[in-house]
Amino acid sequence: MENEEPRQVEIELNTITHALAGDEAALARIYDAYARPIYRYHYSRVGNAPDAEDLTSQTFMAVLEALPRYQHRGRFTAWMFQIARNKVMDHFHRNPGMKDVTEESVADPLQSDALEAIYQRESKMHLKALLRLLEDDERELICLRFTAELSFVQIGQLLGRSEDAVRKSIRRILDRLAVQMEAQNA
Amino acid sequence: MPKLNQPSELEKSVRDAATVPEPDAEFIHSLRARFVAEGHASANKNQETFMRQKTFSQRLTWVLAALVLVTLVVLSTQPTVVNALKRLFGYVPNVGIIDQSTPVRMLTEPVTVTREGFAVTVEQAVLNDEKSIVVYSFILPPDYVHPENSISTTRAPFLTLPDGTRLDILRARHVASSDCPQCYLRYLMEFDAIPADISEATLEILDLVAIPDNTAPQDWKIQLKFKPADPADIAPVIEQIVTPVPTTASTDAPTQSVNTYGITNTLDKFVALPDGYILYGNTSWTDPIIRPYGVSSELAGIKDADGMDVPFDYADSEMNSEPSELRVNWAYKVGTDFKAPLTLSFVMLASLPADGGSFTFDPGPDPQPGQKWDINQDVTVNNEVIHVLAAEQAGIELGFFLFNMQSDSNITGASVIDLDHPPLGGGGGGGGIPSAGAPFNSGFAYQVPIPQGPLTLTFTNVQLLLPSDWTLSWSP
Repeated sequence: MENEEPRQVEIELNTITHALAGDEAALARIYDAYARPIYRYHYSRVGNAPDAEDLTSQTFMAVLEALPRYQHRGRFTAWMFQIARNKVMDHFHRNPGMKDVTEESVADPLQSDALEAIYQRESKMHLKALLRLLEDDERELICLRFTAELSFVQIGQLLGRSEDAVRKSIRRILDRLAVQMEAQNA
Repeated sequence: MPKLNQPSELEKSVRDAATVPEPDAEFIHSLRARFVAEGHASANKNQETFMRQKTFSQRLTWVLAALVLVTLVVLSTQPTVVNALKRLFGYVPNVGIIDQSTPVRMLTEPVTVTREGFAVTVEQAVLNDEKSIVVYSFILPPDYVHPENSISTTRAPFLTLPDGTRLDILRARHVASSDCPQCYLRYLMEFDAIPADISEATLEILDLVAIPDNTAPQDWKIQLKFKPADPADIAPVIEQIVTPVPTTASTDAPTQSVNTYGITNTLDKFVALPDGYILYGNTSWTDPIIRPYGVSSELAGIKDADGMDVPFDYADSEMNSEPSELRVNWAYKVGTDFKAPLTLSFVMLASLPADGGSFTFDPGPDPQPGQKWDINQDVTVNNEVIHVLAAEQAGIELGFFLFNMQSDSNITGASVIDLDHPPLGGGGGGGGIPSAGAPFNSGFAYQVPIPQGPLTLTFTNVQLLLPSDWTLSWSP
């Protein structure tokens, strides 16, 4: 069973209220909490820095626009990532020729050409290949969990599923990947 | 089995394989400044609505006067295109459209003050009888290190006149600074008008906006001097009324207004700049059944006379709609590399009240998170049928239900409420430009404990994709 280590923190209502009032400290706290995870999420979907930066900018500007309408139900992270997801969907809608690369074009940071690294490198490349073969919704689960580092609860809130369902889905994906990796190594 | 708090090897491998490059630090800090500044400014904007009424009504007077004149010209010349009133409004880069019916003054020259490596430059000032606009930017020292998890507090800047009169800031906003890569931020501030016989003022910036506390000098005082504006510094705003024309119309066909819910999408002026054009327009409606902000017009694309896609960018639409207005403004910027005329294709969405219509749903005695129910009920709403397909108790919070629906009509979204039970909150979602016939979701959150079924959900609102031709044809 995956451990639920502390990941993306939740923003308290107090901070959101202050941000709405224009409190710069509160706005900065929200930004600092989400800028990198949201960028990483975008990058994992579009596969390049310029588009990821553009989508991240769009996301945060949309957050400002939508903040007055936010209803706090303890799921601010899910709300933020819903906006980010919408921006990604917009992106692919506007650029139908572009492919959701989810990991496809991410540069493989080859560690070294030392002999001992070869096995690890090949395993990693194989794992990347397996990740690319996942269904869209499975890839997104992996992105949200391991790239954006959302908790199971937050992913559940974002996708409208229970924490348990998300946990089981990710477990199933990991189990399948484990079997496939074993098969490759056999 | 892995130990608690120790991820499995596979998890670690997946995390490693799913790792993406970290964002560029400069981008992160630049967006941070923009986010904080915009959030600060937009919060102020709400508080200043009252203050804006006065200036808005003055501006509205001029707009109405301009429209009357334009209408007169329209009646006596071509039906759709008018070039007139080039001198009534002017465009100043970074500032936007200004009223130049009364004398306009500007800075005698930009003023830069440097302290401890921070360079603050007041780049522009535009003064008329209506208001005073000041634009400043600043550059950080090369060795500035942005502290993590810092806080920043900005006290409001103000202008001081030679006689000691203080003009407080009315509104402010971040301005794009892509033409100034070294600028950390460019910021526009509006103050009340400075009397015409006063040609100097002191800008007092107590804190640089969006800079973490205690990392930059405070209490900047910058002397400003004004002179009559050079006409060359103000681009003419060309009033040009363009309303939709049917795509099948012949060249001599009369212009027609599309009148769905009284919606008219109009391009009303443009500014010619060395590198392109800014097109200004608005989407207005007359039917009060659609409330303020109830119409969303989105530019789906621009094609030129050869059918080539023309890239466009969003521009500042200047005035946002006031809450009482049935209008939204838009502005787009295009380059110069195209063959006129341009065809702008819009998608129009309207949200309007549902005239009733309800369905029943029984979650049973012990609904579980993630549980799904088939509903399969057809409901007539506003004379159209919505197929309510299924429900799911979604999310971790008990009581939040997501209803999956679809309509063969132009309904692309809906809201529901249980009139017998007060909601904990509403829900919704979706992204991108909706298309007719596509499934959509509507959420409703019950307070816990969830009431016993059967429950009745009533439609309160529907979102329509308005099936009309919303193209505009424009030539410089």
